[in-house]
Amino acid sequence: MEKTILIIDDSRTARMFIKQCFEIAGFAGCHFLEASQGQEGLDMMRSHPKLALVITDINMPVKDGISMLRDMRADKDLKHIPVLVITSTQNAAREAELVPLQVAGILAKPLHLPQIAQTLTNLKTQLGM
Amino acid sequence: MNASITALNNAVQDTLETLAFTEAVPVAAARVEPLSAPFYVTTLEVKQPYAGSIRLMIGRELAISLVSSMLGGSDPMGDASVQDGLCELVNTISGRILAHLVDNSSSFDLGIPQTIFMETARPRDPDVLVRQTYALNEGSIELELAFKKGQAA
Repeated sequence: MEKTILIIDDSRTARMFIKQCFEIAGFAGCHFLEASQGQEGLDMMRSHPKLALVITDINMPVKDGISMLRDMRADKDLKHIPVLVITSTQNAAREAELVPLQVAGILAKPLHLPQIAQTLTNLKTQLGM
Repeated sequence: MNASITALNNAVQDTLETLAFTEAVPVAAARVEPLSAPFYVTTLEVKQPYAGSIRLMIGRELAISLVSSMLGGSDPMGDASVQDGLCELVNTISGRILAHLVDNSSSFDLGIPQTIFMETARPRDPDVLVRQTYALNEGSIELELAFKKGQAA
C-alpha cells in the first residue's frame, strides 16, 4: 500500500529538495503532502488520518516545529505518527530538547545523502517498507 | 574572528555545493567586480545566544541561475521562487555558522529569513563583524555577519 508522507517547511525550495532526496533514497513510491508551517501541518494530519511519516523543520512562522510536536504528542489521534526533524538549527542542545518529543531522527540541513542513508534505512524499516 | 571566518567559509562552501552543485571560493573583495545594483539582499536575524544578523547579497542574474540549479533547472524562475530559494540558502548557511560558533550545550535561535530586491546600493551596516566575498562560476556573492558590539564570537 502506498505510504503518505507529510513534509512541513516554510520554504517551498526546501520541501522540493527534501522530497527529491527521499525519492532518491528509496521513498519514490510514496505520496507526498506539503504544509508551510506547524498549524497547517496539524490541520493536514487531522484530515489525513493514515499518514505514515511527518518530516518537519523547526524554525517556521505561525507555529514552529517544537510547538507543533508538543501538540502532536498531546493528541491521541496524532501522537503515534513518527516524526523526522530536518533543521538548520541542529546541535546537541537542540537534540536534547527533542528527546522528550520522541522524534524518529534529526537531520541537519543541508541534507547529504551518504550521511543520512543510515537514518533513512532505519526509517524504512520502521515504516515497513 | 578567525573562528567566524572559518565557520562562514565552511558553511557557504558546503551549502552551495550540496544545494546548488556550485563551487564557492573565498576571495578578496578587491579581486572581483564589486556587486552592483540591482541585487537581492537576504537577511536572517540571529536571536540567541547573541543578537545580530547574517546577510547575503547577490546579483539578480546570478540569483536566478543559482536557485534554478537548486530546483533542478526546469521551470522559468518567478521572483517568488528566487526569493524563497535565497531564503533557504541563507537559512541553511546560518544554521551551519551558528552550529560552529555556539557551544554545543547551548541552543541557538534564528529568525525567519527575508529577501528584498534592491534597485540601488544600500548603506553599509556599521555592526558588520565579517564581510566575505565568494567567487562562483558565474559571478560573486557577498556574505556579512553583523553582531552587536560586545557579542561577537
